[in-house]
Amino acid sequence: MATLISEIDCSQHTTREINQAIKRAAADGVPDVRLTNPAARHCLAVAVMSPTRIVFDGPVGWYCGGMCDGAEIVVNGNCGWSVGENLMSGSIAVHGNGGSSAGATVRGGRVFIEGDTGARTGIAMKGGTVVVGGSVGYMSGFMMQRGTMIVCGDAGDGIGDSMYEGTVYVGGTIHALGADCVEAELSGDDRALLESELGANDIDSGGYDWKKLVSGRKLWNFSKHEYDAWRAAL
Amino acid sequence: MSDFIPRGEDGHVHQKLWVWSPETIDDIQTKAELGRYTNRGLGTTRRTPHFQDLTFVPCTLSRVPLEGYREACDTSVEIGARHGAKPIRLATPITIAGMSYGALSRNAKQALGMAATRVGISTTTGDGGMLDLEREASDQLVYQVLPSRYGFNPHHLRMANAAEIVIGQGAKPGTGGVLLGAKVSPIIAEARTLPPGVDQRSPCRHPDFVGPDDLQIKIEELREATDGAIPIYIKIGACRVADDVKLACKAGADVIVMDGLEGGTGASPDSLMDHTGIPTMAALVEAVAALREMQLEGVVNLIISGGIRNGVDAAKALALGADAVSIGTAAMIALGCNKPVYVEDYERMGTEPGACHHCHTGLCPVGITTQDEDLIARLPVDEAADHVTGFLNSMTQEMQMFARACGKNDVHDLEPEDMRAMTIEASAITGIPLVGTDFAFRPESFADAIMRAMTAQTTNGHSDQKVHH
Repeated sequence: MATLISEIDCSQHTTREINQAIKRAAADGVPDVRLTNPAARHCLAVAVMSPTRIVFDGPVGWYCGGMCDGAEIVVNGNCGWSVGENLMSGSIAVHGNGGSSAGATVRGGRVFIEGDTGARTGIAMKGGTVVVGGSVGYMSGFMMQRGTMIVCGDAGDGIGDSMYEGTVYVGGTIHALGADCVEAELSGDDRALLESELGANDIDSGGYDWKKLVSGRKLWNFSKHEYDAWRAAL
Repeated sequence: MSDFIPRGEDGHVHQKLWVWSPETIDDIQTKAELGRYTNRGLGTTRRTPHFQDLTFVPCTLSRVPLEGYREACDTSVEIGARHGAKPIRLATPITIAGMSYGALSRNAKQALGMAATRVGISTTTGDGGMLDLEREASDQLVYQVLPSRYGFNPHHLRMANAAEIVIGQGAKPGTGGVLLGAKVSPIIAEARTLPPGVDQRSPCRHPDFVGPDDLQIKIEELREATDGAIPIYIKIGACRVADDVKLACKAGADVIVMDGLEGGTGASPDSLMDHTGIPTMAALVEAVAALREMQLEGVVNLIISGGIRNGVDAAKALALGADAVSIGTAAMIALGCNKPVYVEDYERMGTEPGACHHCHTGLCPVGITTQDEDLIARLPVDEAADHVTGFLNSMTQEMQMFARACGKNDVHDLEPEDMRAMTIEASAITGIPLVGTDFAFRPESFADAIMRAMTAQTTNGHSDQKVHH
């Protein structure tokens, strides 16, 4: 008999117990699961495959919401590395700062971090959307394949390095573009997308100097005539 | 002056230079034309210290062998139970190594799965995710977690029987993979979320963790995602073997897959294959010693891979302490790689059956390392699966044959004492005595031998004195 749990005190349980309780609740159709005292514990709400709303009151550690498919996760606090790693669908909203590799390899859904994130944010994204209210560290968007990353603040060195496809928007200063990452013209559709995506988190997209970054596609296939581009990539 | 040696008009002898050999000259001129390093498939061209350099010393008067047709010799092994997951059960201590759908055709992946299931062993996915046909064909399927995460899907992870975090590959440790545009067909491109036809370069570092402490958390994430139900493997390209084994153990690995220098690849720079890594036999010895030092031998299981060619190599690997071996290239060859058919297609690529390593071109004449539909059709799945099954059975027979000859009723009871080294370097690497001696070419063995000699000399000296008195 499944147990319907709507509130879990993390301090009283092991990580496995917490995750299994979340998964049981989600499978049983419990609409809201509230977790207290997460105390920056790693690997919480990993691979939840059913739609439910999961709220953490406090900071979470690494891999929060990793590999989820359909859940809506809210973190009222900071989070560690790799939040929402390989998210399939659903959403994660962090009302604090994120660590490095936030939204790594996201395939679908939406990851929102209100504050800053570290290096390699949105690395190897394969779809979905990553929105950062603050700034991102170096090599963010590295080898991005598809999807959209929106950075309201500054971007560290190497943004969009070796990206295959996808789009990165940066509202602040870009320290240096990565290999084969180029700036493209911002269209009306781009501005509409920014307004819509940021509006969902009560951010006014109008106050930024948006730059749109895409792949220069020089690294798609080797050419000895593009040696300078390849020297950085190989 | 002899007339038998070709000379120039001025009398100087025509001879090839070692540094500027015809191969070196060709290499330089090829690179000058391409404007980059050269790539190819399969593996190293180097002759390495190898299992070939060991010989078994079966039972004679001092040991009793088992009868081949009457006395059982167990081959089964369970791996991955360290943390309570459902272990992988291998009816014979062989696994099919990770090879991607993309590098290999779907027919090849399906045939490998079918053969593995028939024999009672596991097979492994690769860089590009899980192919439905492969999952259906494989009773026990290990799901790789690679730096690229191409096609990675948590639903597939939960369908897998084990997860294997790939830190590196023996053929090219420290670097990512390559899949040249000719093989990135629309189907493969979609599976990997890539534009069709791109020269796909895989990253070498994982996107979501960096070092061994991080790896521990990644393992925890995978366990949480699978409710702790499946073993977690860590595959390492053999380099600083002892350190890496210890770090993998500490990070929580259930199984370590150590992939040596002779390991295979679908496409890699030649220079990496020939100039990186530690040979498989040496890596195995180091890995076993590290597990022993950690007191985790038999707790963390060890699978060795890289250039395992047959049951003889496998038996020697078990004798040195491996729990199982993993084969990739040998399984491909059993499928029909390098078979002397469609010879004109080999010739068109400038090669021939028996010497083809053009996996990277996507033009595989026998339908194994290609995504071309016409070429794929040349590999009949059932027949290919039969061949791999036959080869796997032959490997098992060979392992049993050597174990019985050495008086063992379980292939895992083979031990270093059952072998002798044929070369000084194999003796130095393995600690196994060189044939014709009773000591290994290792410092401690030398010290023992000197001590024994000195003791014998002293004893003889006393004895002589007594005679004189």
